[in-house]
Amino acid sequence: MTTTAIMRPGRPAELAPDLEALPAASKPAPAVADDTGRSQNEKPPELPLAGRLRLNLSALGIDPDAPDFGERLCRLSQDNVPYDFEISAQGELIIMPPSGWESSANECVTSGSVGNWQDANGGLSFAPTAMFNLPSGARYMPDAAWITQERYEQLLAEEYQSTIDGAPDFVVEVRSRTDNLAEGLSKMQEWMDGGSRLGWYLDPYNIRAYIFRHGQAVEVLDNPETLSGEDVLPGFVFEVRRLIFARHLATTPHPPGAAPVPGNGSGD
Amino acid sequence: MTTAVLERTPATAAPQEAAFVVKDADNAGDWRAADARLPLAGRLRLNLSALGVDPDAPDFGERLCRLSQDNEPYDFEISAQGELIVMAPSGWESNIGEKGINAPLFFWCMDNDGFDVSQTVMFRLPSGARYMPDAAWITQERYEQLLAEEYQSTIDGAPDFVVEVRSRTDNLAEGLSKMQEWMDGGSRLGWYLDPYNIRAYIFRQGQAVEVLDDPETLSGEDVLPGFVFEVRRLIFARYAGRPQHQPESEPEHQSEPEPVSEPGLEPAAEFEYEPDAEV
Repeated sequence: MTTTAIMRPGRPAELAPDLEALPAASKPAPAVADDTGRSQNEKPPELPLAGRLRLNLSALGIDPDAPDFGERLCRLSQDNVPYDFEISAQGELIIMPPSGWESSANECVTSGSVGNWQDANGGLSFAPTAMFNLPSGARYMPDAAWITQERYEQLLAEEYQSTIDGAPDFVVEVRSRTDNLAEGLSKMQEWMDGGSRLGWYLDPYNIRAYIFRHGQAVEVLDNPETLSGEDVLPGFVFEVRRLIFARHLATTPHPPGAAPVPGNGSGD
Repeated sequence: MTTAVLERTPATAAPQEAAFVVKDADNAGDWRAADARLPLAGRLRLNLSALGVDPDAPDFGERLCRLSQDNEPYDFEISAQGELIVMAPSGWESNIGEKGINAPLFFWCMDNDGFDVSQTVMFRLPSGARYMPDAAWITQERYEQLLAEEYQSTIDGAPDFVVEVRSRTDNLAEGLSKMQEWMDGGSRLGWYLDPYNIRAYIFRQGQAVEVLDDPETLSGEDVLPGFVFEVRRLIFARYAGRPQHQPESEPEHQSEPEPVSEPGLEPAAEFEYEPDAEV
C-alpha cells in the first residue's frame, strides 16, 4: 500500500475539445498519463488492423444483394475512415486498412501507366478506388484496371451508378506488405472467372509477376523487365522492373532467395 | 524468363479455398504469415449504420450471439453510438487476469449471495452499449428476477460490481472510458486493473476515481461485504514475473505524481492512502 493519488473524475468543461480525440468515449475518463508517457487524449499510434479482415455479418441482417448496396458501401467507407471495404463472393464484409505509402506508390505507377496508354488508345482506366460487381456477387476494387471503349460508352448511356457491373477487361493487383500471397492469387482468379481477359499479379516482395489469361494456365515470370498488354491492350508495354521491382530490390528485407536477380540495378 | 506454370487445384475444390498451392518460400514477403498474427490486434470499431444494421432491434442480442459463432475467433460488442466493436482474441496472458479475479469472486459468491459472471456474459447498458466485462456480479434480487423472467442471452443494466483487466492490446484511455460507461450505466463499484503499470483504478458511484499503485489487496467495500481480493499475489505478481513488461512501465512510477501544470486545471489532490479513512 504505497503512495496514491485521487484523480479528477473528469476534465473541466472548458477543455472539452481535448476530449474529441477520445475513442468514442461518452464521458471523459480520469485524467492520467498512459504508460507510454503520452496523454490519454492522444490516439493510439497504430491501427488495430493490419491486413484484410473478413466478417460474416449475415446475422445482423445485412443483404449484399440489395439494389442500393453499392451506395451503402460508399457510405460505409465515409463513415469508417480510414478503412476501405469489399464484399466477397460469399457475402462477407472485407475490411481493409490503409495499405501504406509503399503500395500506394506501386498503385500510382501502375494505374498511371495504364492511363497513359488509354489516352492514345481509348477505353477507360481506373485507379484503386473504383468498385466492380462480379457475377459471383463479389464487389472488389482492383489496384489498376481498364475497360473497353464500348463498355465505357455504355456506362455513359446508362443511369449513373457508383459501381461497375462485370469484371474489368484488364486488371492489375500489386501485392502490398500485408497481403497474403494465396489470398491475392485467389482474388486474381476471381477476376478472371468474372470475365477479365488479362490480369497481372505483381509480387514485389518476391520480384515476380503472375500473368493470368482468360482460359489459360497462369504464367509466372521471375524478375521480368517488361510486361505486354498483348491483344487486350495492343502496344502497351509496362516497364515493371524499372517502375516497381527495382525500388523493392533496394528496400525489401526479403529479397528473393531462390531466384537470383540478374537485372538488379540495370534499370537505374 | 518463364520459370514455372502454376497448376490450379481440381475444380471440385470449394470456391472459397485458395485456388493455388502456395509454397512457404513464396510467402517470404508476407510478414503477417511469417509471425502467424491475425490481421486484427485489439479492438476495431465499425459504424455499420449504412448497411442497415439496427442495434435497437428486439432480437439484436441473439443476432450478436450468432455473429460470434459465424466469425471465429472474434468477439463483438456494441458501443453506445451503435458501432460494432470487433475484438481479437486477447491471448493467453490476459487469461491470468481474468482467472485471477473470477476464481476468488466465484468462491466469495458461493459463501454469500448474488450471481457472478465471467468474461463471456453480455450486459446491455441504458446508453444502448452492449459490453462484456472481464468479471462482474449482480445482486441476489436481480439474479432472482433473471430467473423469473423469460430467458434472454443478455442482462439488462450494468452489473453492480464490475472488473476489467487490461490486456496487452488494450489502450488505457479506451479501457478507462469503458469503466466510466459501466459506472454511468449504474455499476456501484468498479475496478480497472492495469498489470502492465501495476496499478488499480477504483471507480465508486458518484465519486472521483481513486488510483492505487501496487496495492496488496482491494476491498469489496459495501457492495461485496467481506470480499478482500489479493490483487498483488493473484494478478500483479504473476504478470510482473514476465520481464518484457518492464520497459512498458514507467521507470519511476512509485514516485510522487507530478503536479498537473496545464492551464485552467487545478492540480490533482495528493494524499497518503489510509484505508481506515475510507469508511
